Amino acid sequence: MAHSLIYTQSAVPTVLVVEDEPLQRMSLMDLVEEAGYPVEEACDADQALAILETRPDIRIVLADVDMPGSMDGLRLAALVRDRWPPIEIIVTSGRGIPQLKTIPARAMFLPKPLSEQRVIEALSQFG
Amino acid sequence: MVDNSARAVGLLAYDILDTPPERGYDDLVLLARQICATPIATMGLIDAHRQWFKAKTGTTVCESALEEAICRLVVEEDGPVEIEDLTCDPRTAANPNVLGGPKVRFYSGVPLRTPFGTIGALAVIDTVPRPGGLTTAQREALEKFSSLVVDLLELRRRSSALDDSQKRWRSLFSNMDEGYYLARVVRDETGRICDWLYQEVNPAWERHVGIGPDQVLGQTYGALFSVDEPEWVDLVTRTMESDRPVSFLQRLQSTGRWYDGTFYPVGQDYFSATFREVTKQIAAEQRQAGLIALGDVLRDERDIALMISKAMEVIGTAFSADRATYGEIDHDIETITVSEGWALPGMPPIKGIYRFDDYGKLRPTLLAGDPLVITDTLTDIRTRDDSEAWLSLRARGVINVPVREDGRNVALMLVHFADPHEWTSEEIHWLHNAADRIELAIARRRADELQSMINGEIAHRLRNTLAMVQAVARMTLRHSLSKEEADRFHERLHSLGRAHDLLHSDDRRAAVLGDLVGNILGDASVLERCRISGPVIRLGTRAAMSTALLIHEMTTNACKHGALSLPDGIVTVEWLIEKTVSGSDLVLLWRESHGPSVIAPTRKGFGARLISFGLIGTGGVSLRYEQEGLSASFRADIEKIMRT
Repeated sequence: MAHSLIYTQSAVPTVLVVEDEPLQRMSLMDLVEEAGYPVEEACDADQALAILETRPDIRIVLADVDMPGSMDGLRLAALVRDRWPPIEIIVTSGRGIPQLKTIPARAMFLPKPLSEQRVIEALSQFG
Repeated sequence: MVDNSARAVGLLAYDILDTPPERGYDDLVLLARQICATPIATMGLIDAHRQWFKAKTGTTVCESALEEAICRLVVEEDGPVEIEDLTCDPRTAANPNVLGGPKVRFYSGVPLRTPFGTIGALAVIDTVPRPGGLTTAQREALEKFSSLVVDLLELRRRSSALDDSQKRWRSLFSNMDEGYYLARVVRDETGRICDWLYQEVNPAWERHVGIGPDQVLGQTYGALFSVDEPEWVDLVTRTMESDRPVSFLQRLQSTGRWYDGTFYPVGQDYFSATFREVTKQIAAEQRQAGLIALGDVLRDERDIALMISKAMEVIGTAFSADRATYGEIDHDIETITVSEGWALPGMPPIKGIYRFDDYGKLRPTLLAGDPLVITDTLTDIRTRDDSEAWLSLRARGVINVPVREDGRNVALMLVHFADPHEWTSEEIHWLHNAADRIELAIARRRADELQSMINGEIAHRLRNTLAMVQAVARMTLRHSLSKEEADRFHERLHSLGRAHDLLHSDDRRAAVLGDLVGNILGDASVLERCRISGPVIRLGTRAAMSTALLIHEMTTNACKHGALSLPDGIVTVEWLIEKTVSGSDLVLLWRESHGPSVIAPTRKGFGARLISFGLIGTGGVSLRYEQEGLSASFRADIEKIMRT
C-alpha cells in the first residue's frame, strides 16, 4: 500500500484520542495538536479499532478508561497491544489508578484531571 | 495404795473388758498351767469395781468382786505374789474362794505391767497347798508369759488404733466431694505403662464420671472407656516416674468431660487420684474467651463473608461443637441458604439451599421468632420423623438462633453437635447475644460498603467535573490568556485534583501530608531534587485543598525564579509538630538552596496571595529572602489541620 509508506515515513507520529466526553475530547485534541502532533479522534473503543485498522500512521493511542460501549479503555489497550504491538498506549481515568496487571506492558497511566505537562512529556517520550 | 482411776485408764487404753476369748491369751494361760503343774491358771484384769478374766483354764468363773480377787494383791504390790497356803496368810485366809467355792490353797501371780500401768495379773492356782512354792524355772516362765501377754495386749491396741485411723481416712474419702480412686498400673511387655486397673473408688466417683463404682472395680481404664487417650497414660507415667504428685486439667475425649485433679504416686505400682469434674466451668470459660474473640473478629474483619465464617469458627470452638454456620432465610421462612461456615474435619459439607419442611416441623417455632432448640433430632417430636435428613448432616444436638434485622428474622445461626446435646439457658443466652452482635456488625459493614461506594462515586464525579472545567477553560481561554497563564490555571486545577485523589483514596477521608507534597513535586518533575521529611500527618479536606495549592505555588515559583530554576538548586521540605500555649502547631519549613540570589517580589499576584493564606487559609506565613535562597515557614494549629 503506497499511502501507508508515506505515513510511516512521516517523522511525527499521529495520536489517536479516545474519549467519550466530547468537551474533554476536544480539549485533549487541542492539547495534542498544540504539542505538535497530528491527531485523530474516536468516541469509543469500537470506533477507535475501526480507525486503527485503516490508519497505520497512528503510533500513539491516548484513551480514557471509563467509556461506555462494548469495551472500556483497558480492554481496548489490551487489544491494541495484542494486534499492533508497536503502538504506544496512554490510559487516563477519573476513577483512580487501575490495578497494575490490567494495564498492558509499556503502557502509561495518567490520572484525571490531566496535568498538561505530564501529557506532553508522555507524548514526547513515545514520539 | 494403788490409784484405781489410773488402772482404769490403762484398761481403757486396751478396750479389752468383756471382749470374747482370744486364742493368744488362752494359749498362754494353758502353757502357764502346764509348766507350773496347777489345775487352774488365769489372766485377770482389775478395774475399779471388779476382776474380769480375759483368759482362764481350770475354772468357769468369768469375773469376781474386787474383794475376792487375790490378783488384786499382785496389782497393789506391783510385784509377784506367791502364797504357799492361802489359809495361813492373813490376807487370804478369810477369802470366800479359800473358805468355800473352789477352796483354793496355793496362789502365784505376776503383774501385767503395761506402758499404761499394771492392769492385772497372770496367775496359777492350786487347790492344795504347795510348800516351797514354784520352782525357779516355773517362776521365770510365769514372768515371761506375763511379758508375752503384755506384748499381745500392746499389739492388739496398736492394730486397733490403726484400724481407727483407717476408718477415719475411709470416711473422709467416702464423704468428700472430689472423686477418688486407687489404681495399679498395667505395663506392656517392654515395661511401659499402658493402662491401669481400678482397685478402689469412692462414692463421689460416680457423680463425676457417670459410671457406678460396681462397674469400675477390677476393670481397666482402657476397657472402661474403650478409647486410646495417650495424654492420660502420659500423665500417669509422669506421676510414677517422677514419684511426685502431678496435677491435671484435661478432657476425657470419650465422654467430653473436663477434669481438674491430681495423681499421687502411692508406691510399688499403685497410684491414687483425686479429681473434680469441671466441664461446666471450662465451658463457661471457653464461652467467655469466645465472646472476646468474637468481638475482635466483628471489629477487625472488613469483608462480610469472611467475617461470618471467622465468627462461626469462634462460636464452634467456644462451644466445642461439631459445626457452626450461618444461613439467610427467605421472607416466609421456607428455605434457608446455608454458607459453609465452620465444622470439624469429618463433618459432611453443608453449603447449599435447604427447605425447612424436609427437616421436620420447624417452621412454627421459627415463624414465632423463637430459637429452635433440639437436644436430639432423633427423639425430638418435631424432627424424629425426618431423622434421616438430620443424620446425613451428622447433626443431633441442634440449635438455630434467629438473627434479626429491622425486627424481622433474616438469618439463622446454626450450631450442630454430632451427639445429643443438652442446651443450657446460659448457652442459649450466649448465642442470642452473639447473633445480635453479628447482626449489628453486618449492618455496620453494609453501611460502610454503601458509604465507600458513594464516596467512590463522588470522587469519580468530582474528578470528571474538574476534567470538564479544565476542558471548558482550555477551550474558552485559549485566545484570551497567554500560554503561561493558561498553564498556571491548569496546574492549579490539577493540584486540587491531586488533593482530592488522596482524600478519596484514604479510609479516613484524609490526605497524608507527605504524599500530597510528594505528588505535587512529582507532577512538576522536580521530586528528585527535593528532600521531604516529617511525621505522618493526616490533613482534613479543607486543609488538604489549601495546602495543595500552597505547595503548588511554592513549587511553581521555585521552578521559575527560585532554586529549581538552576540545575544544582535543591528544595528541602520539612515539617514538625511544636507545642504551643494552647495546643500544638504544625510547622512546615520550605528551604531553597544552591539557587540564584533572590529578592522579594514587588508585585503581589494571585499566586503570592495564595501563599500568604498559608496551610489552612489563616496565615501563619513567614517568608525570608536570604542569600542562600528563599526560606519559608508555615504554621497552623494541628487540630484545625486534621479536623477541617
